[in-house]
Amino acid sequence: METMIKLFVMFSLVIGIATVPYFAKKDIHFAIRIPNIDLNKLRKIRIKFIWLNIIAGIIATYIMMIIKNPLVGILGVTFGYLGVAMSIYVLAHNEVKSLKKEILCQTDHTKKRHITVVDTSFTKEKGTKMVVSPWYFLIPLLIVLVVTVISLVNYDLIPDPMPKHYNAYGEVDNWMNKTYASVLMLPMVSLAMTGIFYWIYLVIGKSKQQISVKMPKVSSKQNRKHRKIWSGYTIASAILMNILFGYSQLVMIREPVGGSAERMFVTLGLTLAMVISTLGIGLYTGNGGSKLKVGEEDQDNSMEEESDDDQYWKWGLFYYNPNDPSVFVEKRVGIGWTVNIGTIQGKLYIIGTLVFTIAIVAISIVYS
Amino acid sequence: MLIKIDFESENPIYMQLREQLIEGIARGELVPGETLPSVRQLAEDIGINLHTVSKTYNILKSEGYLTVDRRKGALVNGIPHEYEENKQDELRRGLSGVLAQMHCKGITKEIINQWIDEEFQGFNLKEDQ
Repeated sequence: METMIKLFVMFSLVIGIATVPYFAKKDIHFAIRIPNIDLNKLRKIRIKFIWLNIIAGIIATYIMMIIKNPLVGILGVTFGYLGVAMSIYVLAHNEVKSLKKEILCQTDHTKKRHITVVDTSFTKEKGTKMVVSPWYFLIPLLIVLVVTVISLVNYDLIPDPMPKHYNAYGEVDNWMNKTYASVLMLPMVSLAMTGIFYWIYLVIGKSKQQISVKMPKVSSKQNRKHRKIWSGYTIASAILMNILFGYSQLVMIREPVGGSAERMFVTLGLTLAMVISTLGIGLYTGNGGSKLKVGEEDQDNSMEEESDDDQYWKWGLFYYNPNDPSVFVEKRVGIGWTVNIGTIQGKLYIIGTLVFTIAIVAISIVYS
Repeated sequence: MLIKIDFESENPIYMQLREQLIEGIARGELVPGETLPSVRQLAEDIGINLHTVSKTYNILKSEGYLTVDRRKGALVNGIPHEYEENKQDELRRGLSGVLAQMHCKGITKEIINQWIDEEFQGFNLKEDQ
């Protein structure tokens, strides 16, 4: 069982990371913008990237199998592999950067106009019309409410001491004293997570308009559909997550029919479903919705090209543009959105997330 | 409508924005009574300072292209605007300047008239096709 989890984790990590370059818009290669490049020039870099990741993945998996200590074995190796994968990516990124300099020296780049395109009707419809109705958030909220009510009504049925932690096999390995606070802990966490999902939903609506100069109509339509799909998925994720939390809470009140095994399968099954569907939808939409079919067509104006914004994307991953008031932008590679570290709010989000994470870890260490 | 900003141009951004919004109004891509995006929204999407967009909106308001409503924001005024002698003179002088350059560069009257026809065809169309 533990072996299966380890294998699954490593496999998804390697697949996820090795395919990141493919989650990008046209003309973006390892987070460098090179318009109209002959893809053969990139083959060597791409193949090297994939092979390095596979080799690193195999080595990491082997180390993970032989180390018995779960903290070092799973956690340590995972973070170690991520560090190595990051270096492999930065290597490819820098190689493409050099390739771009080479190409620019050879071609006459100066005749074209470099512009940024904005659709005013898109701007107006961003926050509200492009996302699914926020009222659907009532569903995950309702789940939390129902679970809370059931917990309070059946308070006496909950054992004392009550389960504090389940291991990978669904068996209890730690207990705590029963109080109203400890009983309601899981539903409250579930509520907080719903709040975070709602915030993500808002970010998807408000994020900066980034449409293509070469295909403004097509990319505009694609991006609208992209926001609709992901805003809907945010709500679906909130529902799935609250079902998982709700199930975990309810089996505390009454032991499930299938016992520990059922607990294990439900937890793993729902988690797996979320991971696979996220990757699947990501592959379907592409970055910014660039892979969606929308049946529009654009006239190609070959005298105009996208503004070169490479300078604002540090390592291709971090967007730093103090002149840009937008706080949320779509990532250059991969699935999802990121913050503009050049803005005050962007800086606060980064610092806040770090502080919050450290605080939670510190508090749980102190209290145990 | 689509707004195109060239960050490398010598033409300042607030001027590019002003010119394009005026062209949009002339072509019917922005209809009378339509609200423009708010200053913040437009500045965020283009990726420029809010003051730049604000400056453009204020200039267009003083020139009679926009009305600023406290609740709805910037509204497009109907065309044509009321006659203003000063504006007529200013535009006439501008035209002389451009025509002089075209003449020096060997652009014939026939070609200029053709260009004028093309532009005016655009003014009678609604929304992009």
